Amino acid sequence: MEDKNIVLEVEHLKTSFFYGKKEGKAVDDISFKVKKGEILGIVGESGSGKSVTAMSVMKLLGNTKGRVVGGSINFMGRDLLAVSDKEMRQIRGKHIAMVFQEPMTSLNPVLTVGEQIAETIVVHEKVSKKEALARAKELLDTVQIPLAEKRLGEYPHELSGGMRQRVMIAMGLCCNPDLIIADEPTTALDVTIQMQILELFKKLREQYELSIILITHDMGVIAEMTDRVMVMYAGCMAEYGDTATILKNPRHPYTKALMKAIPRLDEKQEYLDAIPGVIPSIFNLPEGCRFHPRCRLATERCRKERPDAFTVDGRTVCCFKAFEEVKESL
Amino acid sequence: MRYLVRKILSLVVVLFFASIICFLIIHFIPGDPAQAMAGPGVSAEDVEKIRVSMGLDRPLVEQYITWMGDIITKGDFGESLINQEAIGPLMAERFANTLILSFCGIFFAIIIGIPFGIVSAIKQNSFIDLATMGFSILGVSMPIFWISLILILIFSVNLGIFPATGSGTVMHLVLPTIAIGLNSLAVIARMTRSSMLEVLRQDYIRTADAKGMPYSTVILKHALKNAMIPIITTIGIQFGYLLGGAVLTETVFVYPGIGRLLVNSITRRDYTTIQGCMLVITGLFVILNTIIDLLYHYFDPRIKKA
Ligand SMILES: Nc1ncnc2c1ncn2[C@@H]1O[C@H](COP(=O)(O)OP(=O)(O)O)[C@@H](O)[C@H]1O
Ligand code: SF4
Ligand SMILES: [Mg+2]
Repeated sequence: MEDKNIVLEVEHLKTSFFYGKKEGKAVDDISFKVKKGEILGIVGESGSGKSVTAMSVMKLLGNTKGRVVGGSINFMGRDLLAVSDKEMRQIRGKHIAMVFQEPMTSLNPVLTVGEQIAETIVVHEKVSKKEALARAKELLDTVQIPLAEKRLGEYPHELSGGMRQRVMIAMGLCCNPDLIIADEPTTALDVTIQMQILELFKKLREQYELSIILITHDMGVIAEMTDRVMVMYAGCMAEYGDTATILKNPRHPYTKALMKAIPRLDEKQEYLDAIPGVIPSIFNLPEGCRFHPRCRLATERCRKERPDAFTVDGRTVCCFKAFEEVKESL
Repeated sequence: MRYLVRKILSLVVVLFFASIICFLIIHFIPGDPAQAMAGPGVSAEDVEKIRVSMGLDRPLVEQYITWMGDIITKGDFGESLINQEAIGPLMAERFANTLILSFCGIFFAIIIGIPFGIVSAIKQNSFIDLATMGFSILGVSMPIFWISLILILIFSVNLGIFPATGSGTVMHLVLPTIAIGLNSLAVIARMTRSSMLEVLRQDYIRTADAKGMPYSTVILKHALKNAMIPIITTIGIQFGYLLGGAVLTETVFVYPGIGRLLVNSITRRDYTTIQGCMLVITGLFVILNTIIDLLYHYFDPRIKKA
C-alpha cells in the first residue's frame, strides 16, 4: 500500500450467503478506504448489507452460510483474506475491534465485566491478570462509567444498555486498536444515551487518533459524526465521498431520499417515509440498478443495466441519472 | 444467602412429607407386619404380643414420632424384622457401596459424554457428530439390565477380563460402572451437544471471536460455561437415576448396595428395613435436587437477583 495513512482498504468486496443452490448477494462490489484518525460512515436502510460488510472485514462469517466471494481487504499492508484463522484472531481485538448493535446480548452473561475486559488484554498483550484488571478499571474510567472499581466485579445483567455499550467500547479500546468498527452502536439505546455514546466516540478519536467505521441508518448521525461516508443500498454502493460534499449536494436519488428522512432526534419515527417500497431480499434482487423499483427517476436503462461508478467533485456515484445531470451541467 | 435459607427450609418441608409417606407405606401394603414377623403357624396371641412389642398397637402419630425421633436423635432406624440386625449401620455400609458405584457411573458418563457432546456441536453434521448421536440413541434405548448382561457376556464370559459379580476390588467396579453409566453418558452427550449449539449462536460468542479470543477459549470458556447450566441439571437428574437405577444393576452384578438391600427386603417382607431404605433413597433424591438448584445458581449469576 502506498499511502501510510490508509488503515483499511476494501476493494470490490463481494459477500454472498449460500442456501442450497441459491446465492444471496448481500454485498456486491463495495470499495472504500479508511484513513488514520478518520471516521468513515456507512449508511443505508436496514438490510442494505452494512453489517455483512463489517463482518466480512472482521472475517466473522464463519458461523453463517456466508462467505466472501470476491475482492480484497487490505489492513495496514496485510491481505486479510489471505491470513489464517489463528492470525486473524491475533488481529481481531488487538488491531481491529468491533462494537455491536446489541449491547444487551453481546456480553457474556456468566463472566464479570472485569473478566471480559481483562481476558482480552491478557490474550493480546501477555500481561498478568492483575495488571490487566488494573487497566480494565482505567478503561471503564475512560468510557465514563462511574464506580469503575465496583463495576469490574459485576455481571452484565446488573448494567443498563448504555452501560453495557460503554463496556463493549472499553473492551474494543483495551489494546489500543488501529480501527474500531461500530455497527449501529446506539440504535438500541435511548436518545440521550445515544448522544453521550456518540460524543464518547468523538472524544476517543481525538484522544487516540483512532480510525472508526461508524455504521448507522441515520443520516443525522452521519452529519454529526463522520468525515467521509458511503451510502449503501441492497449490497451496492450508491454514493461515496466527503461527508460535507455529499450532504451539501447529494447526487444519488437514494442519498437524497435518506436525507429527507433524517429523523428528528427528539421523536422516534420510522425513517424513510420518504421512499415508498422496501429493500429487496438478497435472494430476489432486481435486475439493473437495484434501486430502480423505488426510484422515481428510473428509466428503461435503469431496469436493465447496472450503473457504473463515476467520480464528480471528489465523490463517487453509481447512477445513470446523476451522470446525465453532471454531463449536462458541463 | 436468602436463597440458600429458603432452599434449605423447603428441603426440610419436603423431607418431612417424604418421611410420612415412607412411614405410612408399612400400613398400606397388604399383609400384617406383626403376622409377617411372627411367621406362619403362630397363634393369634403371640402375634398380638409381637404387635405390642413393636409398638404397632399405638396411635400412628405416636409411632411416627418414635420412629423419626430415633432416626434423628440417635441415627437409629430400628431392627430388621428378619434377623434383628440394626438397620442403620447395615444401610450405611450398603449405601456407601451404592454411592461408590453411582459416582463411578456418573464420572464415567461425564468425562466421556461432555467431550463428545462438545465435539459433536462444533463439528455439527460431521462423521463424529453422526456417530456420537447414533451411539447415544442406542445408549438411551438400551435397558440397563440388558447392557449389563451383554457386558458380562463379552468381558467376563468370553474375554475373562473383568469379574461378572461381587465387589471389593476396582476390577469389580468396571462393568457395573459402564452398565450404569452408559445411559447417562448418552443423555449427557446429547444435552451437551444441543446446549452448545444453542449457546454458539449467541451474540456473546460472536463478541468473544471479535475480540480475538483463541478458539479453544471461545469454546471451553465462553460457550461451555453458559452451556453448563442445563448440563448440570441433567447431570444431577442422571445421578438421581443412577442411584435409583443401581437397584437393577446391583442385582444383576450381585453388588451389595442399598438397592439390592431394598429388593431383598421386599422379597423377605422385611418392613422395617424397607422403610429405612425408602427413607434414605427418597431423602437422597430430595437433597440432591436441592444441591442441583444451588449449583445452577452458581453457574447462572442472573438467578441470584431473583
Ligand atoms: N446469516 C445470514 N443468512 C442469510 N442472509 C443474511 C444473513 N445475514 C444477513 N443476511 C442478509 O443480508 C442482507 C444484508 O444484511 P445486513 O448486512 O445485516 O444489513 P444491515 O446491517 O445493513 O441492516 C439482508 O438482506 C439480510 O437478510
Ligand atoms: S440508476 Fe436509475 S434507478 Fe438507479 S438511482 Fe439512478 S435513476 Fe434511479
Ligand atoms: Mg446491521
